[in-house]
Amino acid sequence: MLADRVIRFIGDPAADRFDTLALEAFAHQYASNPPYRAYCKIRGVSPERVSRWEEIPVVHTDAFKEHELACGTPQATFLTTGTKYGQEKRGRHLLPRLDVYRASALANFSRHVVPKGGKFRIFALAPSLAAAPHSSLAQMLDWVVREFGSSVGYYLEGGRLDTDKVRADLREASLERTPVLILALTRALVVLAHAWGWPDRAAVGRNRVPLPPGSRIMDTGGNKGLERAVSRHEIFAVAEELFGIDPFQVINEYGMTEMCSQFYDDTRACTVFENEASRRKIVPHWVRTRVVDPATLEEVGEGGRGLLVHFDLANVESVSAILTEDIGERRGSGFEIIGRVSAATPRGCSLAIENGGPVVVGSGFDFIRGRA
Amino acid sequence: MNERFPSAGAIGATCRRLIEAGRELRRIPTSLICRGLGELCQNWLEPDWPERRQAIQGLTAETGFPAKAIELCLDNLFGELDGRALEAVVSSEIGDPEAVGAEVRGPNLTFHVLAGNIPGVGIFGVVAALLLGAPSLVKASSREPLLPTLFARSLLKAGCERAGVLASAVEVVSWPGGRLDLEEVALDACESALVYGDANTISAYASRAPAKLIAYGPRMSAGLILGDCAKDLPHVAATAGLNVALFDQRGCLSPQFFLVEEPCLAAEFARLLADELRRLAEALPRSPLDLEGAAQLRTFVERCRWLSLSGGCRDLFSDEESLRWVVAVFETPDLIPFFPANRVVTVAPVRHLEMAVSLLASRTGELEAVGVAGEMSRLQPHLPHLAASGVARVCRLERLQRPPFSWPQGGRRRLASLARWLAFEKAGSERE
Repeated sequence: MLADRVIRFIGDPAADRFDTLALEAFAHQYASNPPYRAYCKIRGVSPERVSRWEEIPVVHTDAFKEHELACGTPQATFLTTGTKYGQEKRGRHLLPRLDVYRASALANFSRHVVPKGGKFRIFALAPSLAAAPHSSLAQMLDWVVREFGSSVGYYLEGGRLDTDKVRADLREASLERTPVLILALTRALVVLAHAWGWPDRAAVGRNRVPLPPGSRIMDTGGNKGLERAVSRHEIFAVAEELFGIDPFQVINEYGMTEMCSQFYDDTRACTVFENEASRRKIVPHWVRTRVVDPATLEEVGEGGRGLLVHFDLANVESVSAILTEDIGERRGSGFEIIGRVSAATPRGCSLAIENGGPVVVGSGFDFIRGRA
Repeated sequence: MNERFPSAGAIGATCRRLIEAGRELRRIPTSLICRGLGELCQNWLEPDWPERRQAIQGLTAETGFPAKAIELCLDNLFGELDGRALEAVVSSEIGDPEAVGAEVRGPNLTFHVLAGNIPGVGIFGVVAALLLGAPSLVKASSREPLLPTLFARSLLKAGCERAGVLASAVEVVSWPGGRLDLEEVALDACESALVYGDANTISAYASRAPAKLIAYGPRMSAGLILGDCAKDLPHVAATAGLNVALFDQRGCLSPQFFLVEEPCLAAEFARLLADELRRLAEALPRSPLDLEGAAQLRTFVERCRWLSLSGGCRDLFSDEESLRWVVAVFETPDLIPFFPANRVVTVAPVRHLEMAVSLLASRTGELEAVGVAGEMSRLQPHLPHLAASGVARVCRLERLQRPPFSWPQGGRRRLASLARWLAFEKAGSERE
């Protein structure tokens, strides 16, 4: 089956060709995903008319709110948080093949977060799968815990972070040799830092828990849920001062419910403190990402900004070509997240441009798109 | 601190000077101010008037709107400010013009906070203040400081003997939003603050000076095509198209959606409107879109396409290559997802006028005006319903973007909302 070939390709880029798989994925989705087929017909596109993956019709993330975009009976359904337009419908990503998601998530995670493998004592500052069964992030973290955890503690339950328990358990872990892996919503990390006295250096010094060598942090979700935007530099400083973790071991992840694949910081570039412009996300070999002009959907050049469009082979059983509302900047073979399109409101005679400001939601900082 | 912007001390000194200038201003009879301003504004309509030429040139560069749109903007704005119109508003809202400065007075200082969406917004407010003998400190938008500045400067040429006094009673300044220190000084000094802004801006001012605030928050307008227009639909669509294209729907008088009463066909109106917008994309090009605007437009179009699968969106006309304009026809207005502006207009059919009024009135607080094509008198019985939902103006569609000075923007009368009255009760009781 095509999904099995995609799994093999994720594990071994020599096993197949992206372009071939992409066209086959489109043909499969056109045949087996009725709403997508109807949409393609509106656009006047069918598999016979497409010779390059770039020509495959992209599906706006909004469509996941209205339609069941799956190529069969789902094994799992993941929901977005759906906060952008208030109490409206939540997006639903139906997955007929969970194993493709697992293959993609673990391959990418291991490559960027634990390239040398090993087992970690895991601190999850994020909801557990039991607490959030429809969270694609919780599902991914659950697999990570099973694969790379020697033990695990979940500290975010019911939206509340148990900061005292985190400190007590981290102190205990600091006495052991097993490295610690902190899997955190970025906002939870910030909440923890403030609970420990950040940015008061003296208070942080009293609460500081230096973690064993090899410890690291994967954070995701960016500024979402935070009252104030927190820069990446501040996160690095928090990691260093609270846990003694080197910025090279603080890896930011960007993902979204509608996609089975994620993107991680190129840590070599991202930790260059003096050069924020060098930060970028790495695109795995089974994904293609374009930064496009929203009006024309034409790709922008190096350094240009536009909407992010992903073609994710791991979405083989739903829809692979995704048009997001995330604003990105093209950086070499990767990209960086700049912000997210805000909800449109009537402008009246009254939009104070200098107060409202354009585009940038998470300036220079990553965020998760409605995933947790 | 950026040295281009004034200091708190300088703002304080300006406020004191303006308040002093107000004393001189109040010595000028209101009828004289009406005539002087009226003549001045008629000069603004002259193609060779230096300030007009400067405004057209500068605003085209500053706002990105084409010169033709700026010309229309100036014509619409100053064409409504002739002496008779000003006198009529004074008479209607205040009564005897000689009462100004006697039992009726304006604020000692009016602080205007302008937004930069479209040029000219806020000029009516400055004129209203002058008619009440009130000086004005105008915080122009850093995006569009030119027209307020040129207008203030042109007051020296007002057609009355004391033009210098008028000019000395208006000062235009600019600083970036959020400079609380500067805003504090102006708010402390003024008696009234007319603030245009988004919800955040309004609430920021409201929390500091609630009693002084006259707020103009985000609003939009709608078009209503009545059934008797069926034979005249091409002309109506052309008028609608110009209203959509002018200022790219960034003003509160810009129509964002149209309701079309049967037997007019919404689909036919939409097709004609699309033709007109296609033409205007060349004749009156859209100002450049920022990334956010373009992205919202894309979201809207994609949402319409997916809604068309479920029948919610009946038709979608657009300039596919670059989305310079979009017309979407919806089953009912309830399904319209949002209003991205920038020449994105939605059309929905309604079976009868009552249904249209009910749909319009359901947008409580959102609608500034309704532009009507067809027999206006049919609206008369429905005005209370519309007024109750906060609609401030019902007018002919062709007049939508050319409001008279008497337009009660945001539901408030222009002079009366600024004026303070003294009642002189000579008798012991009204019965005596």
